[in-house]
Amino acid sequence: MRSQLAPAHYLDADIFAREQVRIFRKLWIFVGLQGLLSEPDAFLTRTIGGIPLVVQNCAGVLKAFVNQCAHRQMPLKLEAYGQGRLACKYHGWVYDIEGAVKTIPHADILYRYPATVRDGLCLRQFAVQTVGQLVFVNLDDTPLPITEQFSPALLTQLEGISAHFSPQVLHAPMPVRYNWKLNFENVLDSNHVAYVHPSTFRPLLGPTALPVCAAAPDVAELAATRLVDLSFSAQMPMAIAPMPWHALVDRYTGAAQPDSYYNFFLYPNVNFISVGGLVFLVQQFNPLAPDRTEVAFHLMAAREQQRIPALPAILWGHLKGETRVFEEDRVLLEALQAHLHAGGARAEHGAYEGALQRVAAVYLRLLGDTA
Amino acid sequence: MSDARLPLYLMGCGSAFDAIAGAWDVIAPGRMLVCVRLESTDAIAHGVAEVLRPLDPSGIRIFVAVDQNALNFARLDLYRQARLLGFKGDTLVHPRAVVEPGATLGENCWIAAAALLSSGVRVGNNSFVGAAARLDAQASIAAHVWVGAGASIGLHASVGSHSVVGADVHVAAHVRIGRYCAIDVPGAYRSTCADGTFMDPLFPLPVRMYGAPIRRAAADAGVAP
Repeated sequence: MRSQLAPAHYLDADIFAREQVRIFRKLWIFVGLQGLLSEPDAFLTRTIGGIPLVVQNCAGVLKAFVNQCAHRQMPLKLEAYGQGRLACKYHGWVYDIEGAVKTIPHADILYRYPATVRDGLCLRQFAVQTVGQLVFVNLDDTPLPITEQFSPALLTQLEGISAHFSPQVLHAPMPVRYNWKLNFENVLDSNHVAYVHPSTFRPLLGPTALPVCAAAPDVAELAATRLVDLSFSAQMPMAIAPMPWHALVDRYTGAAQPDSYYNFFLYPNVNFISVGGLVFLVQQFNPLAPDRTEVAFHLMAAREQQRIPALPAILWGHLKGETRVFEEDRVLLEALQAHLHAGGARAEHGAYEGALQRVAAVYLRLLGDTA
Repeated sequence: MSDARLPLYLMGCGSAFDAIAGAWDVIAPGRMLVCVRLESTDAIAHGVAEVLRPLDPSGIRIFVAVDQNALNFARLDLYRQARLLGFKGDTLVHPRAVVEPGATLGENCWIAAAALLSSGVRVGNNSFVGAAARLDAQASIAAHVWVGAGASIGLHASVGSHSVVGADVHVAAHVRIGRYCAIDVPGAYRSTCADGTFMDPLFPLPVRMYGAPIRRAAADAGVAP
């Protein structure tokens, strides 16, 4: 079946701008980990749908605000994660936990705002939802219920597995030169593993790693595909070399066979994996431009049952291993992107690529387009 | 510091181990050396007790020579095991290194050939300084650190524990490299690297560790994470 997406969907600036508004400013988007926001005034910063955000622990409640001072639009926070009150470094404005301006230094002498203006100075606020340790933000004024994007069963699974996250996290942002959708399509396509990762990832999956191949969805099935159908979990057996630290953590065992590879596809842009419930990796594909994406990794181990002094080294070693696998994808996806051109051919999907067809069908509906 | 009368048990593997074993005749002429070469750094402390237990801790000195594997935790594992059994570690300085008066070195430190340690330099226990590395006056290296060949640590600069400063990395004067950092992209570093900063050719941007061990480290050091 010919793909419903044309090369323009990976190249066109206007389509990219519509994605930002109709997908990334409409859906629930993963922003970070609750465990890193547990301290008073802990915060994280992100940009979603072109809007800079700060998610802040406000007296124990996570709140999301636009990350720009109401005065001159200076970012309030610069670091990816940190701790500090909501205050602007530029002219010293301080905000309260509702996002309203609390104090303006020398307000009466230098600014002389009328009361109506002064009272209206506040940060735009957005909806926040936590699913276990995963924090999501929705930028829409009337956010859709999160259960319309992720099924209750999937949310329960996410709460269960993320309860095992250690509070130590490696955060790795990586700029790449391809469209964000290529990466989400790539992680849905397990058939590439044998060809792209023959000596890194493939040997860990055992002898029967061919993807499950259901019948290709027909037109009616594609039309009936809902947003909630695009996010799901999968698992398969995996060879995991035992390490001494494995006995010291609270391992997630969601499968009958503990040595499993867990995979959660969270539309639109998250691939969350776990190696044996021992190591967890949230991969996110953040759109920057039609041909540029920031791939962000959050990597954690399972929660320590006793202190593991070498945990930073353990996490660093795992991150490098995961990134070597990712590099094998990146090189090919950047080549794929570089060869796309206006008027070029569309992908010809086989039966096993039904998930890609479903994603495209819903994507076009969200965009307001037809195939 | 070294006790030249006692035999030295050199334990470990990797480039530092090879450098010390290969240059032993010039490092400590006439002193007996026993090499205990390990296969790898995986489960490194396993089996070492069997090697050491029959020996008299007062009759030998040990030196644990393991490279920067696992942010120097592999070397620490082995070193700690030997210390728990009562053995004392030596510090070894290659005769072609220069350690100026006023520099202080901890236990189980290795200062490789052509390294230059200026006056007031402090090197913590179990830290290695590679060949031709330069530590300027008052520079401070904490415990369990690796400074690679040709690297330099500027005047009053500091490197936190369990950090790796890679080959040809140049840390400018007064700059602080935090704990649990791996700076492994050659070049000049002119600003502070927070605890848990990782720079590696595999990553185009710095990787950061956030969370409990970093907060613990920051609290210990009296700095904000």
